[in-house]
This record gives sequence, structure tokens and C-alpha cells, in this order.
Amino acid sequence: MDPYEIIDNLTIDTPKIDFNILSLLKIPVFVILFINMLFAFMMYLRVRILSDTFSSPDNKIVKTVILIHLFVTLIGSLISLLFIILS
Amino acid sequence: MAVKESPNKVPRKFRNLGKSFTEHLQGESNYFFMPFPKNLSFVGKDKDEHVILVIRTHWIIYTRYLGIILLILIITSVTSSILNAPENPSLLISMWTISILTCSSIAVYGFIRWFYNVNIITDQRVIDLDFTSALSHTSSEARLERIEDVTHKQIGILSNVFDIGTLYIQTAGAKAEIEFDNIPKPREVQDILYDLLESKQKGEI
Repeated sequence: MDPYEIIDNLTIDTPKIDFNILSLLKIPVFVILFINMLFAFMMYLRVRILSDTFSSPDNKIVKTVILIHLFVTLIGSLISLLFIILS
Repeated sequence: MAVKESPNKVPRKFRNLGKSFTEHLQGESNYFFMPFPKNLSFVGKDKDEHVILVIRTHWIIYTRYLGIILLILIITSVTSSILNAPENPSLLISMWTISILTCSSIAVYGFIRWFYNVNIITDQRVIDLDFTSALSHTSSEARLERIEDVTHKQIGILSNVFDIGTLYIQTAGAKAEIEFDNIPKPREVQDILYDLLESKQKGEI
């Protein structure tokens, strides 16, 4: 028997570690999304308090802006979450 | 011919005082320097209390949020090119969605901070409302008769270029002083406060 063939037979196949940076990136992305949603909600609540403390005719505009921002953040986060799962 | 009244016309109560501060209040009114605003109220406002001036921090202070937004957008473009994201459209979409959401949150936060970082001068008191973060805000007030000293400081390049400064209002007792941070026309505001204090001491208002 050829000695090289013997050596080849002795070689043990080590399992390959599959390291994918993209799947690792998903964790901080989930965290950022969660923080973003929480931040938008906290800002909405804070504006509700402040509009009672200081009331001016422009409060309606500010309340509308913050409400739109909350909805956009929620919808955007859900879309983003969907694409992260798909990627 | 009827003379059209200026929207910033000083009420008779203050005009009759003959003080110089009324001159500072007859100029242009904007969101940063609003003399005698209409339909404006706050918690604890008395019925006969007049709001004389509403001041907000100068807009130039908030341009740092614009810098942060630009930085986030640059980081996102660099990261998407490094990760070769065009080959993975789902990743590209999610990355840009997160980036835009974060930028919109920062922009809205800057807007809310500007709107609710407000300083109010009435004929009874001064109020300093500070929106410090999404989780906290501070409201300080001092009655005019409790004010002992008013100082203004203008430090830095921005204060030279945009004529902005911080006004420190020292009150009697151990209470911390009230600060009107980075407001436009700090000298005029100081003069307005001194004239109001004088009128208050004489019992004219």
C-alpha cells in the first residue's frame, strides 16, 4: 500500500466552523430597533406632559409631529424586522 | 387714516412705565424671541398675569443634530459598501430603514428640545422650562421680587457671530440660579429684567 494513501486515510475530517458576520450583525440591529421604538414612545409621553405644562397654539403641530413619528417608527421597525429575518 | 396696529404692540400697562425695556420688545417677533405672545399659557399662570417675553435657545445650537444625522448616513453608506450589501437587497433595505428611522428620531428629538426649551418672562415671575431628555424635564421659576442679580455671559465664536449668550438669574436663598441657555439678544433680556425688577420694587406692576 502506498504510504501516502495510508496517511490520507489517517486524516480525520475536522468539522468546519461556519462564521457568518451577517447573522452576527442581526443582534445589534434588533437592539437598535427596540431602542428606537422605546425612544419614540417615551418622547410621545413626554410631549403629552409638556404640552400641559406649557400650552401654546403650536402645541397641536408638535403633537401631530410626534404622533406621526411614533407611527412611522413602529411601521418602519416592523418592515425592517421583516427584511432582517429574510436576509 | 387709521393706523394699523403692530402685532407686537406693547400693552398700555407697560408703555406708561416709561422704561427702556419696551423698546426692545417692539422689534421683530419670531419663535426665538416672542414679545407679548397671544394665547400662551403655563401651569400656575394667574388671571391678571401678562406674559412679556418668550425666548427659546438659538437655532444654531441645534445644528449639531444635523451633524449627527449626516454622520449616521455616511456610516450606513460605508457599512453597506463594506458588507457588499447590493448582493443582499434585504440587508440593504433593513440597514437603510434603520438608519433613516434613527435619523428621523434624532431630528424629531432636536425639534422637541427646541420647542420645549423655553424661557418665559411675565410681570410676576421668570420661568425656565428645560427638556433635558425623553425621560426628564426641569421647570424652574422665580418670582420677580426674589431675584437678586441678573448676569449674562457671551463666550465663544458662536456668541460673536450670532449674538447669543447665557443669562444667569440669581435668586434669594439657597435655591439654584435660573439659566436661560444660549438665548438671542442676552443684553436686551437683561435690561428687560432689570427694568421689570425696578418697576416691581416700586410697586408699578
